[in-house]
Amino acid sequence: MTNEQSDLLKRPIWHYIKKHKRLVALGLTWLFITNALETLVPWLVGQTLDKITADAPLREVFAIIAYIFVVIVFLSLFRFLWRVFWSTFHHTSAEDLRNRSFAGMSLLGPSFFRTRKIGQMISLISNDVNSFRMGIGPGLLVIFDGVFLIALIVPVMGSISWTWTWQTLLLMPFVPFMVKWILSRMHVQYHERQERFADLSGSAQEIVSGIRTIKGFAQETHQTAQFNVHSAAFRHSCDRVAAWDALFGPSLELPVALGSVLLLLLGTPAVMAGEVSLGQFFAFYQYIQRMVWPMSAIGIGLGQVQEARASFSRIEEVLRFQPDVPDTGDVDVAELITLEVRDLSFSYPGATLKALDGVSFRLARGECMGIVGMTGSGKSTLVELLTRQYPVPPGTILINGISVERIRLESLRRLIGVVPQDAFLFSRRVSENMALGLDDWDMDDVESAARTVRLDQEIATWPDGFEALVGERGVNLSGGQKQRMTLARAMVREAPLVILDDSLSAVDAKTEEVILKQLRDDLARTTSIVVSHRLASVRHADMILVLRAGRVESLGRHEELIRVSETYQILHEMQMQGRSG
Amino acid sequence: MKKTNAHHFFTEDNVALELTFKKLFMKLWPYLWRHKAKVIVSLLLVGAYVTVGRALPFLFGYAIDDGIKEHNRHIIVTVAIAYGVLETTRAVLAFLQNRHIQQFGNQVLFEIRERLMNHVQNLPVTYFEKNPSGRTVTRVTNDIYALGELFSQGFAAIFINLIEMLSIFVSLFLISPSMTGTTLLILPVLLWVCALLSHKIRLQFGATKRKLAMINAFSAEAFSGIKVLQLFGRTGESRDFFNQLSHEYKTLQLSTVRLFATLWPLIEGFNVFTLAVALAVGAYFHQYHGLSVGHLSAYILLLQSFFKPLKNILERYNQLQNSLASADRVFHLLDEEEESREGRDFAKARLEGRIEFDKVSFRYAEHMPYVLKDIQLAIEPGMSVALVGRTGSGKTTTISLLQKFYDVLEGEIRIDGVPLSQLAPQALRPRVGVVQQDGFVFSGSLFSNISLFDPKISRETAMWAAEQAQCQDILRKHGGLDGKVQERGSNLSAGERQLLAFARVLAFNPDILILDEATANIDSVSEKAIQKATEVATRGRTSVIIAHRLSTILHCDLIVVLDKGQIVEMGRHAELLQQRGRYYELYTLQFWGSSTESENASRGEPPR
Repeated sequence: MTNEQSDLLKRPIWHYIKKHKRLVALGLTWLFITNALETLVPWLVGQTLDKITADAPLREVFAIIAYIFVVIVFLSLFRFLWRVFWSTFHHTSAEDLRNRSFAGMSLLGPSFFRTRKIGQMISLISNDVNSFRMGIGPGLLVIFDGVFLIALIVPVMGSISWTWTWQTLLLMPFVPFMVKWILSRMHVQYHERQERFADLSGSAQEIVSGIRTIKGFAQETHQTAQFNVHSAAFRHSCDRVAAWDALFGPSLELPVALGSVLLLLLGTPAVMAGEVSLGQFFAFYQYIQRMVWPMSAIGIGLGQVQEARASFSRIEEVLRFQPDVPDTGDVDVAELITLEVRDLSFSYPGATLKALDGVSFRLARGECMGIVGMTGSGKSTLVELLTRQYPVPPGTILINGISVERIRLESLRRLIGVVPQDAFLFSRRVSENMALGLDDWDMDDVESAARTVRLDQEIATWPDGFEALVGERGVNLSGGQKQRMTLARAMVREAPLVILDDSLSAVDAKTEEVILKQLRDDLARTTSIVVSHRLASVRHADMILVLRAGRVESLGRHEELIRVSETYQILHEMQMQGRSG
Repeated sequence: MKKTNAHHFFTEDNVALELTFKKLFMKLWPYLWRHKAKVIVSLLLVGAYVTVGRALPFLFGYAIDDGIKEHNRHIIVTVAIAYGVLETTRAVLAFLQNRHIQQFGNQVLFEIRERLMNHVQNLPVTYFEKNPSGRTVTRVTNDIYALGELFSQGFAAIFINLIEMLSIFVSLFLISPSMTGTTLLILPVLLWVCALLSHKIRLQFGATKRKLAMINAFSAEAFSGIKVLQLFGRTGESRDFFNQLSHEYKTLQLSTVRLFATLWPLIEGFNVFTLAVALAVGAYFHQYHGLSVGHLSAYILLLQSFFKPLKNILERYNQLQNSLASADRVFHLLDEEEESREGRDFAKARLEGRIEFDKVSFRYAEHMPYVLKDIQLAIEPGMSVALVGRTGSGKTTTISLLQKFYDVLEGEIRIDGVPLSQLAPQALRPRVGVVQQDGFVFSGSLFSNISLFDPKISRETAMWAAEQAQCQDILRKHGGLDGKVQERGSNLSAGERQLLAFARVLAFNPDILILDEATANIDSVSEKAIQKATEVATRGRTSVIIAHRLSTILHCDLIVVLDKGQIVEMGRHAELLQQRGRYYELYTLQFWGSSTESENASRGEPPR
């Protein structure tokens, strides 16, 4: 972890303030000047009123008003300035945090991604980062705004009358606490509402996904009734939020109202006695009204900062998360001479059962190995370990005799072209999807790969050919087409080791035969590992590894296995009967 | 050489916005007016709130003129008490008014949600094929929520603030029409500037929102495909692209900030400006027309409160412009045509179960190729028929036609002699029970999954059906009929889900059974149970089965081999094998370990 990152994790708000010292300092200065000018206005108005009351010549009245015009100009200018400075501070900080979060997550492995939903991560990047920004931006700002205003207004009020000041502001100090209390209540209600909303979405999702079932049994009405249960719960929780929300504004008005009433009762004798001028009385009345905002601002600001902290703790958890496989290696490997697995045992983090138990084999350059076994026998786990998605004990997987943890991760992954089980494609062009693993590429690479996987003719029929977008906005691919594209994506890399993880399951048997034949020709000099649940796919392999409950049941060629391996015989029989294993 | 870096594909649907505030209001109005009393109460509360608020400055002015200046202590005390009472009343009214309107909005939204949900369920199956489920769910949830914000934060707030401005205007006018004319002379200029800046702000808001959507879509895809990105060494590239998006997003936000940083000081500046003008004009009126100081004070207080509602309106209006898109989508969905409910029911309570396909041809749209062609098939009551063929041969379409998810356009399908075109879908479907391949399971209990909340299905019926469908093991494992079923049935195996689907069909006791056999890996225990359940369910019923299991095929009275939408062979297993035709070919292909339907299998759970 870099120094900067650890400083950020220790004191996030302070970290960003330090990083943007100048913006923060100037922003606050402009804010202070703005506040001072704002405070000046009622005082000037009071002075004007006094002149008017005293029936002074209009020239004198207009002279004071002229000051007001000057104030307007500067007020507008400084209001503009603090907004720009302060916003640059918090938006830039948010950008930094957003980028860190994304970069941090994209280095993490399956133990992070398997336990979280995509929605949670998106929410982290957009909502939590935004809530942090609201805390250090508007949140901190209104706190300063409040403090400045109090510091400015109270002395001015005192200069008119300290007695009035303490009498009328008696209740004000309670305002921040009340604000915080109401906000915290609202927060609870918001949370509740969010949960009800999730229920509502869940219910709607089920109805839409199960629509054929619902229609098939003509159950539309009963399902709506069921949906309404969630809908009503959501509505009631919205109602509670509304009640608290409606309480917020009025509850702040009351201390002011009381202050005004007290001023009318207790202040008027002094005005009548001529101790305080009418204009000052009027100005004082306005100052009382202006005190609500700074008081509630502090409450609101503290609330936002608190939320920002909560959001940051979620971000922090992600930033502190360690990748599954630390990239500690320093050896680069350019070719594959041998791949050896020695007595490899593995259990998933948190699991007690061994997913692999004492697996060993050795593969030399140019050889093809098939891996078969029932569901859950450890086929996919083996692929995950070979591609280093989980750490393995030192000396259990060796490439050219070098233990994998000593090899740089990037170098290792360049060595392997893998076709994962789930055919995941990106919403990019067909050509870009195929060339994903290449830094620089040209169309020849892509076109020849398309031919290998028998996709070239189909692509030619798409409106934009290789330029077509994959996914909702472009071509919708069938399962088989997707699988063939992921296969092409791996082929394009021309990696020394190719791993197919049950990657042609959605392609019909005939096409698979043709593709595999082509691959055998193309891969004649490449080392390959083919995991499959169809025996036909591995028949021609140089050796076939049969896995059973994480152990190697047998290792050999098709002709031997059919005689000696029990699992292999069962698989063979099942497929004879017309059921896929 | 090409370099992949432009992911310019993550763009929001840029549908031209047809809805305006006015049009939206017209669409919402019928829902509101259904609750006349609530509308009237809202208006009364707002009126009272605004009136009380305007009375306060007058009261203060009165205290100055008749109390302080006249040295009348009695009037001061009275005014102080009245002031306290009015402020309290105003606070209470503010609370009541705000809560009432918001809760009224929540009620209206509840009703719109209900209506939309009913509507969605009555849409034809074709709608769901064209639209991803997430999109429809968003309409019913997020978009309606946005509509709600439009209502309470938008309409209601704008309305209240407008009334507030109007009441202030009237009050100012009451004090001095000519003074008001002079001070607010500048108002049109301000409004013009506001409109200009607001327009820019709205455009910025839209752009910012779209950029955020892009960031979210890009991240969602990057995280879904994180394994691929890592294995292919592409995390650096995706990080760079994210940073680029993130920077663009910030830049957009900052330019919005600059617009606001111009707009707000401008309004606030105008506020003080009018104040200064009012003071100058007031001084003149005081000297030459006898305007009292109290009135002038009241005038200034009123004038100062004039700009807050204006600011509120602008803020709301700008922010909510984007929610209009959501509202627009909701009403668009409501405008989608529902499937026809017209047609009659069968005359008989119980059907014999004779199914006839009479020269049936079908295609999904005019310009598309035929999916079924000239299907001629008669199924006698009680027969069980197996449909076999490769993917895309038309098996699933045949079943959808029997459920009347689509209308047959050429030829005719008859059940017990009644053409499907004459029957209402809701009358037909309960007669034709379908056990789907990936039997959909709802979250809830085993009982609710069997009964689907239909009150006609009693617990006894459900229990009986579960037993018939060999669900004893499931019941035992999950604690009886009330056992919990998780979302998408994730605590059940594929085999158990299909057994549950059998129980559901048996509980509803249809006259015809349709079974789409699962191809997914099923453990041998469930496999046996499913065989048994199939036997029970087909007993005494006409059944049509999309078969993948040899054992099922062997039991069927008739095997229909489909290829490219046509019937190519028909007969029993042994005969068909002898013919050495398409059936033989399919059968031997299986030997090679292919599951012809495995495309469907890959649709199941994500590999772990």
